[in-house]
Amino acid sequence: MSLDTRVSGRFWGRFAVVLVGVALLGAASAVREFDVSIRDRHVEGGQSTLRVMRGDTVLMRLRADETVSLHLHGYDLRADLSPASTTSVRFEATIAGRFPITAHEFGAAAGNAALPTKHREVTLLYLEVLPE
Amino acid sequence: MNGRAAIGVTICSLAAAGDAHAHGFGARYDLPIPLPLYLGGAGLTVAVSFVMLAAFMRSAPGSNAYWHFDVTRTFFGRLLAAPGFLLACRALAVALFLLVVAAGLFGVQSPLKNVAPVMVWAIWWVGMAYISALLGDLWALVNPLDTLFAWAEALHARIRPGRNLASGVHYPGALGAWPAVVLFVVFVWMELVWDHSDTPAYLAAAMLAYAALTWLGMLVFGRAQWLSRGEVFALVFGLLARFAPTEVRDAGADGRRVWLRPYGVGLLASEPVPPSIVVLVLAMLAAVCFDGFMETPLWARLLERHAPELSGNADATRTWISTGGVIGTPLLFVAVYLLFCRLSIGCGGARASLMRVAGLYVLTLVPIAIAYHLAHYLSFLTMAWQYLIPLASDPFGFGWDLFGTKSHFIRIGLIDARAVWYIAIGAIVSGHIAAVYLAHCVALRSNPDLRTALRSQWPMVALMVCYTMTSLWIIAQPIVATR
Repeated sequence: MSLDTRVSGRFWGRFAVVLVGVALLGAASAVREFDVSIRDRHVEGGQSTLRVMRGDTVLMRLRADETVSLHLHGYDLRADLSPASTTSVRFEATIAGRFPITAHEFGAAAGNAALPTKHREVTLLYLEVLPE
Repeated sequence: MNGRAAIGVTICSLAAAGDAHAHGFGARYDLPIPLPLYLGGAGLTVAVSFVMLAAFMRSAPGSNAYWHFDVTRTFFGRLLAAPGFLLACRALAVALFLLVVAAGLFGVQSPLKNVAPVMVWAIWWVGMAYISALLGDLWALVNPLDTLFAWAEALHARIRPGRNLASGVHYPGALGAWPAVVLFVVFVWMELVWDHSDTPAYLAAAMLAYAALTWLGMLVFGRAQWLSRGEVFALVFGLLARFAPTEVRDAGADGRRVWLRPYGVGLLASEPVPPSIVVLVLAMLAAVCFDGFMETPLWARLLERHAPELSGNADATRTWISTGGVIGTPLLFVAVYLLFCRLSIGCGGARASLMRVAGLYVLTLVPIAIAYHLAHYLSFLTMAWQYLIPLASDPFGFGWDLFGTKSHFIRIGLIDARAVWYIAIGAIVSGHIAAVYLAHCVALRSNPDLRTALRSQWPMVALMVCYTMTSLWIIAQPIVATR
C-alpha cells in the first residue's frame, strides 16, 4: 500500500516535471506576431514599441504605402517594402535590449545602391526584447 | 504560410553605421530599468540617507588619517613604478595618439570603418573615465600631449643648455582653472551636439587643434601650470581619480610612492576648492546628466514641439536647442547647488561664506556622477570596445588584415540585460551612500560641533537625493533617438 502510494507519487511527480517542461518550452518558443503598417511615413496607430520576451520567435508582417527600406538595428535585419505586397520578417529574439527599427530611403530611391550611404534615417518604432 | 520567406531580408555587416546617436559615437541598445527596480532603488536611496543620518548622530567618523598601503614596497609595485615601464606606457600612448590622428586624416571617412571615432569616444573618453574613477589617474601618467612636450623640452635642453623651452610667463591667479571650464563646455558640445563628432577627419582636426592649444599654453605658462589650469582632461580625469583607490606621492629623495587607499578619501577636501573648480565639477555632473536626458522621450517631445521633424529648418533649430542645453544645464546645476549651499549655511547656523561652503562640499557629489556614468555606459562599453578587434587589423579602413581579425563579429548583449539593471541600481545607490558619507566627514571637519554639523547636512542630503533620483529616472527612461 505504502509502496503503491510512493510509486504513484513518483509518477505524478514526473508527470508534473514533464508538464512544466512542456509549458516552459511552449512559453520559450512562443511566436509573437505583429502587423505593422506604414502610412504617410509613420506607423499607423502610433504603435511605438513592440515588446517580446527573449527566446520568442518574432513574426512581423510589414506593409507600406510607398517603397521603403526598413532596418532592425542590433539584429541587423533589413527588409525592402513595396506598396503592392506584404513583407514578412521572422527571426528568433535571442538578445535582450531595445532596438530601433528605422526607415531608410523612403520613396523611389529604395534599393538604389548608387545613392550616398550617409542619409537621413527615421526611427519608426522600437522592438524591446525583455529578459525572461 | 510560415512567413519564413522573409522577402528582402539581408544581413549586413556593420549596418549600425549611421545609427542615431547622442554621445559622439555608436548606438546603445539598453533596456530601460523596469518600474519596480526604479522604485526600489529610489526608496532605498531615501531610506539609506535617513539611516545614515541617524547613525551619524551616535558616532562620528574620526580623524583625517586614512588607511593606506605602500605598493612600491612590493616587487610588483616596484615593477610598475620602474622608469622603463613608465616610458614604455608613454611611448605606447604617443603612438596611439599619432595612429588615431593619422587614421582620422587619411583613413576611410566612415564612423565604424575608421579607428578614430571608437578610440576617441568609447575607449578614451568613456574608458579613461572608468579607469580614472575605479583604478587611478592613468591620464596623468600617459597623457601624450604632456609626453610630447616633455620630450621637446628635454631635446631643447640638450641643444641649448641652460635655457628653458617655456617662456615662463606668470599665470594670472585670477584666471584659475577657467580656461579648462570653457574648454570642457566646448568638448561636451562636440560630444553631444556636433554633427561631425563621428567623422574621422573632423575628429583628427579637432585633436590637432587641441594639441596645438595645449602646447601653446605650456609654452607660454610652463608645463605644470597649464596641466593644472588649462589642460581640461588632466583636470577632469584628475578629479574623477580623486575617488580612485590609488594615489601617487612624491617622497622626495625616495622618488615616487604609490599608495593604495580606500575609495573616495581623495574627495575629502580640507580646504575649499577654488570657484573655477566648483564650476568645473558641476559642469561634469551636468554633462553626464544632460547626455542621458537627451535620449529620453521627454527631450524628444520637447524637440518635436519646438522644431517639428517636417519643418524646413528642423536640424538647425534642434542644434540650437541642444546647444542651449549644453550651456544651460551647467548654469542650472551651479544655481541649484549654490541655493542648497545657502540653505546648508542657514540650517547649520555657523558663520561661513557661500563660496567656502560651495568649495568644501562640491567634491562630495562626484561619487554620484561616477556611479551614474558607470550605470549609463556599462553595456555601451562592452559593445563598443569590440570594434577595436576588427579595427586593429584595419585601422584606416583600407581593407588591410594585419592580425587576421578584420571580419570579427561584434556581439551585443555580452552582459545579460538583467545583470546590467542590477549593476546599475547597485552602483547608483552605492554612489549615493559614498556621497552622503563624504559630505558628513567634511561637515564634521568644518563645523565646530556635531549638532551644527548634522543640521548643516540636511540640505546637502536633500540635494544628493534629488541628484540620485534624477540619475535613476534617466536610466528608467526608454532610449529614444532624436536626430
